[in-house]
Amino acid sequence: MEAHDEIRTAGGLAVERIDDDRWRIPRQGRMNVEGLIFADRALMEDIRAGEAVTQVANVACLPGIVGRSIGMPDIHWGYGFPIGGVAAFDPAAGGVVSPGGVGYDINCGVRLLRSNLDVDALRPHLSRLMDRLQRDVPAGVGAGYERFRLSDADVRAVLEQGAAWAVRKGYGTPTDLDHIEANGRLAGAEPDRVSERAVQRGRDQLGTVGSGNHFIEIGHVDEVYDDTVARRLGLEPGTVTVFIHSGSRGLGYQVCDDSLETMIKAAAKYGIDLPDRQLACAPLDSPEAVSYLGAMNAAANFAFANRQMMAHRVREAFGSVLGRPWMEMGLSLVYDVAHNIAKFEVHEIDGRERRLCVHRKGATRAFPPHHPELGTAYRDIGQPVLIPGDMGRYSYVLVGTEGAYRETFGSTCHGAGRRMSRTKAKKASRGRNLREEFLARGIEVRASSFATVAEEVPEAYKDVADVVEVVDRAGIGRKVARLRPLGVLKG
Amino acid sequence: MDEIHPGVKTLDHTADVGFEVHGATLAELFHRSAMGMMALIRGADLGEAPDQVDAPDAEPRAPYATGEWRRIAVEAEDTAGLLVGWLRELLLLHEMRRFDYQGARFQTLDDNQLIARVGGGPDARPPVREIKGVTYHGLRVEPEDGGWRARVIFDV
Repeated sequence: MEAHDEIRTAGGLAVERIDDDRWRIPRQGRMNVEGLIFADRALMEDIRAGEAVTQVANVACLPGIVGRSIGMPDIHWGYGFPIGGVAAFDPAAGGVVSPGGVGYDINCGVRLLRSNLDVDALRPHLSRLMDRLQRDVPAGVGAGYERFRLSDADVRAVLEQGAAWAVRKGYGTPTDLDHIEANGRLAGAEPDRVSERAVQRGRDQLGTVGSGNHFIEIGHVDEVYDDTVARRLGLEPGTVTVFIHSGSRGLGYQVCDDSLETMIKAAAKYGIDLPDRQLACAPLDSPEAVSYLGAMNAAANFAFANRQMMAHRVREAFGSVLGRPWMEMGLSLVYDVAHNIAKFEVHEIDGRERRLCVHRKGATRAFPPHHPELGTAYRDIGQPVLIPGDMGRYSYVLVGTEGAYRETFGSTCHGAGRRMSRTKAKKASRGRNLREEFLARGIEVRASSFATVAEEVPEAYKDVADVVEVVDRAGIGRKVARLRPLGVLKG
Repeated sequence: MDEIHPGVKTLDHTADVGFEVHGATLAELFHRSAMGMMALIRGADLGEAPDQVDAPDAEPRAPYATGEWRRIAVEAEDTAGLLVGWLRELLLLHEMRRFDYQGARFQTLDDNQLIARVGGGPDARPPVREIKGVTYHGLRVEPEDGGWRARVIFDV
């Protein structure tokens, strides 16, 4: 290998260039496997300046990790695991589960609705629609429904049944369920493992957006790269779409919090030497892991129900503002994916099929056509993958590929990925009228606080087009369509 | 690095927020960390006016001197773990009860145990930033010349 094909990170780690879109972190120190990062040269320049590469290497040190510790092109510095990381652990080889590899916002994810509504037909109503969404869907710090608090029996049912609970209560249609990862319900949920504190923290937050980078975005199909697949997904050029980005709210945060202390003790008990305490973990067959997974699956179901309820309120808002039933506008669900999750899946390692616990922390499942876990809706075209960009530019819809299944445990990127710290973003937006700036781009923004919008300005993020180009070229996802925002509701 | 409370400066982290805090005593370090977290929730690092209240003796001040008192007890494997546990309890109190921390009387504060009575009142100011969790990532609590310092990163 030529000298210029090896670079060093700010932290001094050696990284070798494999090809235009792949970089290897050779095994060094206590790494059990090597690291693999998907990025072109320009993205790598950003990535290596931060801590994300070290975090990929740290994850590679955990027991029972198989294949490689993987970083997607939107990777950035997280806490413990990098955001944009994928790692799979083999229970038969002492593999672990780590709550830090899922994150506080368990099953944070994205769902996309499509419609047959022409973008020009919506424009005259957009402002009123955004007002209506702001009124009907609580967003912002800790925002919940004052008059909507789940009973104990309903909390239990949500944790066990996920999106199906919401549909049964009239929030959506049974068809929706075939268009959600795992049909909107993870098996193995154990509501009894979810603490009373977690239940209290989330009880009035079902159907709410939350804060930070969560949003509801009205957009339209701007460009199509694969006509056949786009048509199957119902994405016709110029038609209106809706992205919803949120997770398990306070309930999930508390499940993660509760588990961390247990996992730190467990790591000591099982003799696991942690490179970072936030990577606290326990062997998959230990009682600590079983308990966490039961609670995590339950929290994931809460998140599926949360997005299902928000989608229902969005449909109702469209119906009321445009004065006709949402079904007439064809506001159906394209798909709903998790991007913070740990799941048992079967993958091939060294020519042998193994049941692994795949952690996706800021990464999306991207299963290829004919994968047995795909619902009937898209079995022949592969799983839709939803990649939101920043607030001002565009988002993408992809489908899963064989390449992803072979190389990344059926995973791909999840978004644009931050490139600027919150402090820098805030300084960059000081003195600017962000509302007017977005309006000038043709985007109506509604936010409970413009102070947090300042952290989410487009330049704080990588250009999601660069990220998507890498995964498309590398074959771990295939571009189908690009969407542009018209209106954004932020927490 | 912006000072969001006396002795508390924010750290530059790509995705999350964090701060470095100094205190003359462990009690002051814990108190200032709590005040720093409340300042983050109120968006002090987002350009809101920094919180000017400081209580080096960690005693609650008016108007909360006669306000609400609550007991917090945390055990951990070391002082850093105690700091995380302490902040988690206060975060939950704020989220669930809108309890605005103003100060504490520490009954026990050693390497493995914290028992305190915390004083405060209902938070009248709207929260600006949602803190999902207090992380162990890059966590540090260590003695320095003339006192203690700590680093904490929050998931937001």
